[in-house]
Amino acid sequence: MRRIGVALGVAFLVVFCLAPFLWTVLTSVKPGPEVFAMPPTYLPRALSAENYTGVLEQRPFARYLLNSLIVAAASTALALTAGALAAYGIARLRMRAAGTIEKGIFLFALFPPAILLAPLRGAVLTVGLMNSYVALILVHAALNVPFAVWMLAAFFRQMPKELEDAARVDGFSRLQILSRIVLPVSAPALAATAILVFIFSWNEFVIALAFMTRDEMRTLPVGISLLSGATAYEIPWGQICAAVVMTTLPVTAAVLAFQRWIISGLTAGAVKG
Amino acid sequence: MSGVTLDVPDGEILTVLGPSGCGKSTLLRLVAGLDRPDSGEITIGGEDVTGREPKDRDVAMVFQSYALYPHMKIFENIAVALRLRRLPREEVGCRVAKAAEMLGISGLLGRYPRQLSGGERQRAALARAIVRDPKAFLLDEPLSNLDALQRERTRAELKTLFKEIRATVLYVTHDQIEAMTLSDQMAVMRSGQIEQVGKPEEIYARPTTFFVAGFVGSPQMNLLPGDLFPGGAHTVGIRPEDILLAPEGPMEMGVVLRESLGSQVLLSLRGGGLELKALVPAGRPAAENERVRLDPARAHFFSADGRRIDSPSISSSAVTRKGRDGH
Amino acid sequence: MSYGYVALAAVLLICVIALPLAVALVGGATHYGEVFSDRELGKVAFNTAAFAFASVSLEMCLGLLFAIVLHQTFLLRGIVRAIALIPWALPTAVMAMSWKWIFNDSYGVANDLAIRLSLVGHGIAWLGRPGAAFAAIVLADVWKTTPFVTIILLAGLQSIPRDLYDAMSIDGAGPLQRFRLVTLPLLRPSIALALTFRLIQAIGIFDLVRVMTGGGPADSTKTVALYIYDVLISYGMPEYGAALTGVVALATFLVAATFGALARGRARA
Repeated sequence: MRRIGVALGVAFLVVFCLAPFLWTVLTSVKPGPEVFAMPPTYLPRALSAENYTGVLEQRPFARYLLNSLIVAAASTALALTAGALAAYGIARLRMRAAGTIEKGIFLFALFPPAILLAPLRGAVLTVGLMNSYVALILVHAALNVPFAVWMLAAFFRQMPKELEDAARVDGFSRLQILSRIVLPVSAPALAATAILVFIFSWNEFVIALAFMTRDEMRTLPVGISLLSGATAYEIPWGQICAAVVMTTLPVTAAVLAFQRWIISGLTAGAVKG
Repeated sequence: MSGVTLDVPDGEILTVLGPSGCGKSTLLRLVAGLDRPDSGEITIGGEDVTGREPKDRDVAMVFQSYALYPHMKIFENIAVALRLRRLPREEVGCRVAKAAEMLGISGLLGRYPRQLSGGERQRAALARAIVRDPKAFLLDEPLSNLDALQRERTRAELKTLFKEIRATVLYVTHDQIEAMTLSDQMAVMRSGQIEQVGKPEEIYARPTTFFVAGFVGSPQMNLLPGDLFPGGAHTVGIRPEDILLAPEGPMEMGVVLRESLGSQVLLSLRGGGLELKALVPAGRPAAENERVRLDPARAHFFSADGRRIDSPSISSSAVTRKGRDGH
Repeated sequence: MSYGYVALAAVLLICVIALPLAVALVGGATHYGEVFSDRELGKVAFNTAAFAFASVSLEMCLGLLFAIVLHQTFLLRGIVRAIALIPWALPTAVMAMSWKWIFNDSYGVANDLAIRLSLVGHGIAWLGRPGAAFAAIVLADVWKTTPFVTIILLAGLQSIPRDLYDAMSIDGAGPLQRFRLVTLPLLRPSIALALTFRLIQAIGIFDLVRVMTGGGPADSTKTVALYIYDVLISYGMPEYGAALTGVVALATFLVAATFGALARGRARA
């Protein structure tokens, strides 16, 4: 009885979570006319790569991809460095103000990016950094610092302090303790955090939409959301689905590949609150 | 913690025994240099090391959780301190091999800590300390994560090992059996103060404070009101094995509970407004009542502030009473 | 000395977010009066509140159900847990295009399924009718963010000691009573955490609406964030946008703090 319940629950969960994505994949591999067949065919009658070649040849997809990679990689590096250092300081060093600092950092997680658009755009206009990687990288990094601190502080707290004591007695210097003990031991947590921060930046939409007004500077989500045909009746849904799949597949693969680290990292942070 | 003076003689094992939170771990961390004292000085091998970093004190430490580096193989774990001191490669290999052999973990050097059992990890942590050949070993409850059987075996091995290499050891524990069996010298600590230092037998035989009397010894010493004997002591302590059960005993007490400890039986007795525990040989037949004699020559007397009283007047007057009891 | 560890994070947060926020709040100072007489703001605030209420309450229920399912032991649990995370990890704006395709009035699979299941007699213009567009956006958001609630509640479930359930069983409690007497009270902190963050994100919803309906039809799905975007970029009124930001940020903070405290507070009572 219980097992049937669990099985039904699992089946519903899997279908619910995957159905929209699967439908997109199925559409993307259909040849042009079949995409618009009525009633829709649930399994493609024929397979075709034309949507993929089409979006790569006719649209600046590669350029969007490059922009997204640059912004996500740089902002992840920055957010991870700042977040790891801060989390280590908060978790390890008995700073009297550690609790206050932690709360102060989390305060920044209370504002959705869309609400912060006015001040952020104002600042970027002031310093003249519209359509520049730098502005988007800095904003993405700053927006992700609270999350990185949240995840890594939970990890550093449960990493035994005795490990660093032992290293001090063994003769490691402060810097060596960080580079040869703390960093290697926390590699899984750092990797999980890095993957998630990268995904957040990769996915971010509203800031990228407002900051990048020139087409060649657009990131993938913005570029794809603006894909359209000459008229409302010519929207290239096959190509759009192909673009969606190419954008989401790396994320899906990363989540599946690193699921153990990601889930244990997220749950450690969530229990600590 | 304040006013703590402790001296570990060369080549001896000094254990610090105390309840949790008494400051014994802090003491160890101060000696290691992991924490800094507000005042006072620490010397190791005649050198003042008070202001030095842990790595410059020539001490090795074994931690309660072992603190093996999870990302290094056992060989690296043991070798790393020597490498950091830039010892030649061959010497490092040679010393690691020797330390591993002494602890019987030669076959495990290529494994990671997570692939080892609790007992093996403990040995690896010990090897990491021994390989350094330091001026002093600092051990923080190194056996508390082992099961009872392993603990007993390792305890004996530790003593043999440390004697063999003539190590100077400061050993912190809350387990009095460990302290009693391992120590050349033993210090009993309580809320940041040293209560008594001495050979284990000495501390057992002549606890100098009320706290030590109650803390050292298992089953615990009976602690009774001082007016049981003349002389004005505040408290009287008698160990359970020093309670005499004899037909001519002046006090009749009821047996509330019999607990078998194997070769001995622990009796809980109640009567005459007193509660006592007495340790008797297992062969003694069970009875509902026992006659009890308290021998002042085997008793320990403490004043109201918890100090031991050893004035002859007390013992002589007590002897008088003992004589009277005899009649 | 040790404050050095926090320095980089502090510089980033202060220079990139706090400082511009402060400048904007001061710059918008003369416009706060207008905010309270802005009738369009009233309308979009109502839309946002309705959306937040509908989607967050559905997500909390479904998230709890998913968390309980994922907490059981079954074959391939690791993979299923990863699958449950996928919607949350996919780019919202990109998946919004998929949803737009699914809800397409002529070729969408949503209409085909609805007709096959005899829910409707003929195809609906999902994104072209006020009520239907609202429902479509709520569904897309529930799909997208239920995983976030799931993972936080799963973490909470995992932190409840098994012994408590065993003790309750021995005391004679059935599955439902164990859920009511052990799971729910001990899950309260996690529920509070998930609820707080979900409310904040729901109030700030932008991506899905912008891509799926653009706020239409007839502004029926326009939310506060879309309105701020319009004020800033389409209407070109940065100072009024800054004033809006101040009021909305404060309101978001108050709503999140109130609901968070409510959920947490009852745990202690």
